[in-house]
Amino acid sequence: MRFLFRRWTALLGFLFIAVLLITAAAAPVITPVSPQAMNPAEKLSPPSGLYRFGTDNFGRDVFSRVVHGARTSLIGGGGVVLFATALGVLAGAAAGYFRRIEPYLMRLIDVMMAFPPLLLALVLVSILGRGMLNVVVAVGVTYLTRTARVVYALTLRIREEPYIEAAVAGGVSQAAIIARHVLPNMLSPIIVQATFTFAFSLLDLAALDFLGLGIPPAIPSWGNMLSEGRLYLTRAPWLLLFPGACIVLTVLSFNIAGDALRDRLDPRLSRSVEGV
Amino acid sequence: MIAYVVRRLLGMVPSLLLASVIVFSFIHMIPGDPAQMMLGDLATPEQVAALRESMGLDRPVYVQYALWLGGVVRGDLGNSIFFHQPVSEVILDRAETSLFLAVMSIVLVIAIGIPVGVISAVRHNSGLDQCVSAASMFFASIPTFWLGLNFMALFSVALGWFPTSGFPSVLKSGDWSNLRYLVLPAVTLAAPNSALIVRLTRAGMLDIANADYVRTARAKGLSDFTVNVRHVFRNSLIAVVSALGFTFVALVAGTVVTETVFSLPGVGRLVVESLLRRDYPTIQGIILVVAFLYMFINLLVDLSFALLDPRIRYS
Amino acid sequence: MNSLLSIEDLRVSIRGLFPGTDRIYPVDGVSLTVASGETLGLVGESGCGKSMTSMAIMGLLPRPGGRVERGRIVFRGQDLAGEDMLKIRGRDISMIFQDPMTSLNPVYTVGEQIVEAIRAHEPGASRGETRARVVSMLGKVGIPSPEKRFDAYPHLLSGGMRQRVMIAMALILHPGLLIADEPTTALDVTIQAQILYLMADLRREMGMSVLLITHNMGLVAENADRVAVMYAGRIVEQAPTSELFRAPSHPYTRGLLDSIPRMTDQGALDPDGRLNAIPGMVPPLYALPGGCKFAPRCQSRTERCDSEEPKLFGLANGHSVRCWLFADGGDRRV
Repeated sequence: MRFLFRRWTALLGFLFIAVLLITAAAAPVITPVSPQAMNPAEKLSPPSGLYRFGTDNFGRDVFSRVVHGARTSLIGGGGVVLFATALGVLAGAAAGYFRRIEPYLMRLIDVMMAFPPLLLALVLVSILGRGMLNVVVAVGVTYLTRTARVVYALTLRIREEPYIEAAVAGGVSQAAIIARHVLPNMLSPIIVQATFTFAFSLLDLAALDFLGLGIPPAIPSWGNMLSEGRLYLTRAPWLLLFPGACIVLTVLSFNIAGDALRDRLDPRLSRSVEGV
Repeated sequence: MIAYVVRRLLGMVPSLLLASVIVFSFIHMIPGDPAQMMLGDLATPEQVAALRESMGLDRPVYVQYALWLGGVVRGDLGNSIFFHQPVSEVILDRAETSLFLAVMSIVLVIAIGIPVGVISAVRHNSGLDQCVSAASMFFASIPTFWLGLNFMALFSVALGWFPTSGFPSVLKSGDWSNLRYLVLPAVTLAAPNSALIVRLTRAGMLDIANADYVRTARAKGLSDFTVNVRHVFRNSLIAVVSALGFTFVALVAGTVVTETVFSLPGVGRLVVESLLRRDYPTIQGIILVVAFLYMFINLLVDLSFALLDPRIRYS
Repeated sequence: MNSLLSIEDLRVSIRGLFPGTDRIYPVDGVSLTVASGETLGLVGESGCGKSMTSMAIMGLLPRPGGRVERGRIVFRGQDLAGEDMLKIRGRDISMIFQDPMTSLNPVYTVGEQIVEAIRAHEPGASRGETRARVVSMLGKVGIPSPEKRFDAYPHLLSGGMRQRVMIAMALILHPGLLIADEPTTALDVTIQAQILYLMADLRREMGMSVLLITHNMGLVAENADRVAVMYAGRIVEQAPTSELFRAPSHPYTRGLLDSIPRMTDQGALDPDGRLNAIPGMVPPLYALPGGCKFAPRCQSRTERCDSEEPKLFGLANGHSVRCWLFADGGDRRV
């Protein structure tokens, strides 16, 4: 029963992600109106035939902005995942494998964890300036530490495995051991962690936009739309409904996908990789 | 035990120093002239020079750090550029709102998260468990600010049950009914964190449920209730407490967003306002306090492990 | 025979671990009896259903998913299916487990954990009296300075001491039957002997019966009055211990005994004694062969073995064997 439940929710999750990818890729084709085109005559009009999700305070098409926002979200989340995973794996594996730098590196990572991710990201964006790349780096830095911790723990465990001892005893070089034994055994948990990183970074990216310290307002993103739509909470609830629902569905789908991947790829490690 | 506490406190010193270095370096990561950037384009060169002088920006970096750290140790976090007031006073002014909000949410998180997680684990794989899992997954996927806006639209605007925004001080007016202003924000803040605690409590319970000593307890003839409370839950408390310590970070981040949504005069909103005003001394002060608080809470969590687990107590 | 426990045609099922797989039957058609004061050795490889049998007796089959499909478990003349197992467990039937390191809860003192067993069955017992009983029991199982050890946490005790604590916990209410599931497997060899002597002493002293579950034939030879050998959820051979070791009959039993190194009378390793492993592997429960479950690994198998499962055939001297070689009570071994 539970398995069935999990299966079809997992299916829905992956399905939604697929739809999202296609939508983002085909954004200009799908949307009849440009996301930037303003039509003051029809501002704040409710959902209708032409404007399926209504219009905002500048008379821009909410549907078109939501679809283009999917692009922004996927690029943003993807960027964070790439950044955090690449550097996190490097830092974690280095700390786990090289005894000499281990205490310093892990102490630094622990201290970094003392800063709430959103707070750290806010400060970094404020220093670096608003902009897609800066936002991705700022949020990426905050997730780097979590990936590093997971990879560090995995490296420690794998390092003790008998097959590593066997390889060392057999005279295999360090580099070859890392490349051929350590990394492949970490792949599944890293993929799972990356999926959760994607899900949670979307929430942070949206929060940055909402607080006015994220992606520049000119770029349509779900967070920016909510930030602007907030003023019309009662007059034009569709401004909040659609982008908000998109964030929830996307994050939910990636969380479900992460859970499914974790169960599937590595039930043994399912406890050590926590989606938080 | 006392020796253990002292050892842990001493062990924190390098972390505190490292955190202070990171916080201190924020200002120096600003491209160009920080003084100019903080005062904006409208400032006269004299004003900029005066600020640079007062912040000691013209001295070597290590001297600046030493002076700043010396101040921090004495409780002096510098002066706010916007308020022309010591940062510590600015933070204290705003602390009431944030503390009330944090306490109310953490109470909600504990009161909801732990019992629901326990019941879900005990009724493992039941329909109830599946509903709880689905709900906790859902609430962990909602942006806090969107949830807050929806609550506001529903309970404040449409139903009129709660005030929409602001928070008149309880301590100054002595009017405890003002706490109603914080009900919606606290629920908003508690929702995703409760979801997290539900998941971690449930996972912790299920981990323990298969332990050999739980089987021993059943073999003794203990009832299910006794086994679940005295053996399973008691042993999963360690996981739950460490999760609660972990929630602190999420709570602080959530405070920033929630206070902004509900226009509450708290430290979280002060962060956002100060960032938009480029009032970096205030930001530095707040972040340093938050990081220190986090480390202190982590220490408390570790110490509580010693209370919860005799194996740690005796080593 | 005055039987304390008798199991009649027990069939236990648990739900398959993966979706789509049917229920599997770790115990299928097991009948056995334990007489008063007797030690019955239940022997088999891991996964043969011996532990699942003990869990069925205790009413502790995995939940959800585990259930008794067929058969009865009768204890002191009462069918346990109709009894409140909470009252029976720990008081009339107790159990000790393989790994004393993990079988005690790390957060309570050993004394508290034994007191719990008393509390569960005698809610009115006074504190002082309970403590005195526990301390005296700890002394009885050979724990030095029991008054002090009462307040010790399990992690401060050695493995042997912890197993003594487990025995004290199991025997505190003088149960009629003790189920010992691999009680010495996790212990050092020297400690194993001590624990077995202790169990034998206490059994005589308290007049209880023991169901000794193990994979170790040597352990059974020294400690059991009778032996039941299990394979793939079935009992394949049952006999008094001396009879079984004198004339092991089922090809599986013979295989098990052949895989133990034998000593000569002088105490040296027997140079002629062949050390033979049984070929093949234990079949998984979800893919059992149709006829005799041991047939694929059996060197004496015939066509009949593949098509039809043998019954348990009775031989002389209380010996019974589930093998076609003994279909008419005789021995047709080649």
